[in-house]
Amino acid sequence: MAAICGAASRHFYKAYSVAESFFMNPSGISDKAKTEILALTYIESLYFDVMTNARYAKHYGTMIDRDSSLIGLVIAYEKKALRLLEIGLKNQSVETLLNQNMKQKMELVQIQNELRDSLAVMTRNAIMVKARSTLSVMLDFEESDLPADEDLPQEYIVKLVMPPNLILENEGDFAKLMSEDAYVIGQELTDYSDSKKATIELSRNRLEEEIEKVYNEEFVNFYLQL
Amino acid sequence: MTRALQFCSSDNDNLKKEGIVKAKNAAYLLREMKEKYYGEFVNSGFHDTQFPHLDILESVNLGLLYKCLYNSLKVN
Repeated sequence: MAAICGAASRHFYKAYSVAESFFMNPSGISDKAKTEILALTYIESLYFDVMTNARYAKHYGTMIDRDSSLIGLVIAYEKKALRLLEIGLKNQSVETLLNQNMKQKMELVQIQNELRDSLAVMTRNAIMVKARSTLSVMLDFEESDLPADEDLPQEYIVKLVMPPNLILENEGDFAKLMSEDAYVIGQELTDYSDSKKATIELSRNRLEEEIEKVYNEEFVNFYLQL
Repeated sequence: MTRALQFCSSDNDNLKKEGIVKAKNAAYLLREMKEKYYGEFVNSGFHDTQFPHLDILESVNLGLLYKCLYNSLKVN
């Protein structure tokens, strides 16, 4: 589950970073569309980044009974998830966007509270483990000490191949894809470009004839002069 | 893509699975557009933009795909 969250987060973050630099340039895309794309990708990327770390914490949390030294790892994952949440939820540039997506915001706030509670419990347990342990067990993990994300299991790796049962609903009838006005304009543009293309072809043929004529005349004159 | 967006936040398990298929198809078509058709369009010289909007949409769809998958597995 953590690896799946990680994959989702990476894709959303890629979309966000491309969009962020792309939208710096002037384009025909409306500000509303830009904002919506940035909001969607930012929030989803944040959500899945948090979920990845929370899931890893949960994963290692189930193994603490067998190996109490893993408690440090759990704390590090929870701290990382909380850090990401605190940055994301306080980010002023996305505050409005988050307020428009109250369901997601509430879910993130709920996760934040759960993580805080869990972190408090884990920290208490870590102190107890440290006191009980006669050996020097490493319990203080930094974010940089966290292991690399696990690879997605083979069965969940998506390969983009032509789906066998793909039906293109509007294939062959582009009129269905646009409004009547847009279709008429499109048709006019097609006719206009066809007529321009014919004019260009005609001009090119005439030019080629002229070139040949000039060349022949020059060639003949040259030899005559000789 | 729109359907994948709708389906992946649905409570119905079958719709979530359907969302995965829709997101995958959309990502496939966007990649085809980007690599097969848009590439040739850009090379034709008759364009004034090279904006990677198809990149953004493809990544969003792949993200959606894993989101649907996560939501679907989360319930189970």
